[in-house]
Amino acid sequence: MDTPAEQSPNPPTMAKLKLLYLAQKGEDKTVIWLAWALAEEEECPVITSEADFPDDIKSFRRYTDRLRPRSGKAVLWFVLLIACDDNLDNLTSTMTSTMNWWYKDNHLACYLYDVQDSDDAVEVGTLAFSGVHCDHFRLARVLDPIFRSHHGGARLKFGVTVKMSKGYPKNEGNFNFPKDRLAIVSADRMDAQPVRTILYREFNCHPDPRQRPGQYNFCLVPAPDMVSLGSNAHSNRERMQQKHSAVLDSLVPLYTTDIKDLDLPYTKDGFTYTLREIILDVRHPLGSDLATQLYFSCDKAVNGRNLPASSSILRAYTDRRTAAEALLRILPHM
Amino acid sequence: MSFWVDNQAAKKWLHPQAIAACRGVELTLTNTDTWDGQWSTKEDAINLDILEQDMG
Repeated sequence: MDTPAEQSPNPPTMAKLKLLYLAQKGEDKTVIWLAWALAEEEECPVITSEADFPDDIKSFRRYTDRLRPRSGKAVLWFVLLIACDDNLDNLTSTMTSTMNWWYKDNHLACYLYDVQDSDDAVEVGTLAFSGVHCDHFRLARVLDPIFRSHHGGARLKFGVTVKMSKGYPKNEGNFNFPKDRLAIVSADRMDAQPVRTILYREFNCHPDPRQRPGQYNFCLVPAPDMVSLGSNAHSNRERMQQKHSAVLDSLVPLYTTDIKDLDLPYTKDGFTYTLREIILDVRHPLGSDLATQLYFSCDKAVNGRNLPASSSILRAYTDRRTAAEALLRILPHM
Repeated sequence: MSFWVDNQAAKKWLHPQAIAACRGVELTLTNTDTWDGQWSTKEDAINLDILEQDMG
């Protein structure tokens, strides 16, 4: 909040927060703001209308993880616990949100917290070979039942986002596909270790990518905080990050709007297929039984600007680009 | 899809416009019966003729 020196930034910060609440309320009548620390929920009244909104910053502090209106940093981030009946994305400033115009007009930004039902999320690790071509919503849907089955049926609090991760090499070109933006798995601090262990077993211990969750050809790289000091984890992580960079450099993105559903099962002669399985199983040259895959990945395209509706993104190896493009154009014929 | 599974699978997985656009596609196979990415249709042949007459 820009206020002159010697002038308190607290009242204008509170006014802005109230405006944010009212703008969200205008978008979705069911929106409420809750106390930040989950344990305090019952001690702190829920903000359900303008009349409930605290008058000063001292009373408001209970609704955020931290609020320092003037901290010296150019951008201030803090966390709020918000609930509503409709699509939560429409309360954020993402490209697809219905109120992103408000955030632009007010020079603010709002994104979903890494783990939606946690107030203490930590990064478990990054998934090497993932990136902006990955549908992280599907990945989270795929991982949830796997975590439950490994955890006695109990749900683990976790979240998957695609965002920038420090340490991964940056692009020298092709800025639409930044190599340092990849899938990051976070979890509540209490659940971080089981999440890490299950991800390691499911991704890193299956040599065949088709046996990995969701047929995602990823590898877990544990977050620095999850590894004890004094180990050679740092150099191993760097090697993995370089490998991720080299693999992504060898791929080209191909888009199509022809695909209706990648994961709808279809049974014929006692065998069940999905389009995703068939696409990832295509060998190169087509018709051969060589181990060389034509496509590295296929997924619904969810990250990117101005994506046409129903876009899917496939990544193919650069040396097989012609065949990969041609096959994609005549996919229904195959 | 009609080649790998059947037409019903294609209808489940792909948009009708995409299926319609691929009618009459003929794959060009190599001597070893593998596919090198070439294909043709009657429509494609007409387009090639137009290009040949006007630009070629």
